[in-house]
Amino acid sequence: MKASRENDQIVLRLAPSEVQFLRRIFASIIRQYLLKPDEVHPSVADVWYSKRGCVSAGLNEEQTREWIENLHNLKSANVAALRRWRRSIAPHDETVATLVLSDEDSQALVTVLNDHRLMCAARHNIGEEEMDIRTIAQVEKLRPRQRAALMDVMFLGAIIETLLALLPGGYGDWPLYAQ
Amino acid sequence: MFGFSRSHSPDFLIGPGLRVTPLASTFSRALWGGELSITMDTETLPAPVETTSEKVEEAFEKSWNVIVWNDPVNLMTYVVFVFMRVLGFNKEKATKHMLQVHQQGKSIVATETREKAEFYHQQLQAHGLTVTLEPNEK
Repeated sequence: MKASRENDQIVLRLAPSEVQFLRRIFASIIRQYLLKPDEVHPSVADVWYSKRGCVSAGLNEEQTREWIENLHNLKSANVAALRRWRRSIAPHDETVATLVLSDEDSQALVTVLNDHRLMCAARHNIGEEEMDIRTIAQVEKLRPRQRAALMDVMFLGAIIETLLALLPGGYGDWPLYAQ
Repeated sequence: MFGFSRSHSPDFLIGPGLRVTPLASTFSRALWGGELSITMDTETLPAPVETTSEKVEEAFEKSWNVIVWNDPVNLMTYVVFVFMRVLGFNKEKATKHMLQVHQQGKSIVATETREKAEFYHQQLQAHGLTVTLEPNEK
């Protein structure tokens, strides 16, 4: 993937394998966003639609239900953009596909990709230990599905950091700033 | 992208200084819609008024802490981005709170009225962060 900032937009140039990967991710997240919160896998619902905050705020059952419904509306509002992005990188030949994103779209994409990371981690028990893996030997010890999920989490993390680095606001260079 | 919907709030404003809970609202609709027919001693009426009054006091007088908790998956850069986008922090403040979450497990990112705290709670959770609220006792 090659990413650049051109004319106030972010342009991602994707190889066929990257197109295939992103189309799979987009399709998966569209499916999940279209599910009602109580239809989502419990481990994912526990992250996406966590009720911890509602409990801490003392919301009753009906208030919590309304709150979760609103949260679902915020998430599913991204479906139209996801479909548009998926269409724009539809595979037509072996050449590089291009995804052109406004800054607003880029910020939405970052959040959506992060949701997918959270979903993968929740579904495949990826926690601190797995996130700290640094060697191939450690990766090979994981179950195949967990390994695949961890690869998704890592690759999407790289895309997120690339997008953040290209957005105005300098989100991507906090370590330099912290020094 | 994300719009704040007033309907997420636990109470619905029905006029200046007046609030009614969703449950009370449902009851009221049922009553005025003719689905309920009740006979009530007038002496029993003050009780719900007292409850409403307490809720008004709670909502308007108490301030609430918005707490963000650490998790192993969200990227540090992403958390800085969310703090800047949702809470309007500058980069220095966003980084400070992100590091506090990372190193101490949590950070109080805002102390606000109940309504605004709930707004931040929903926006931060919509961005995938783990958030709770607590009354600010100070």
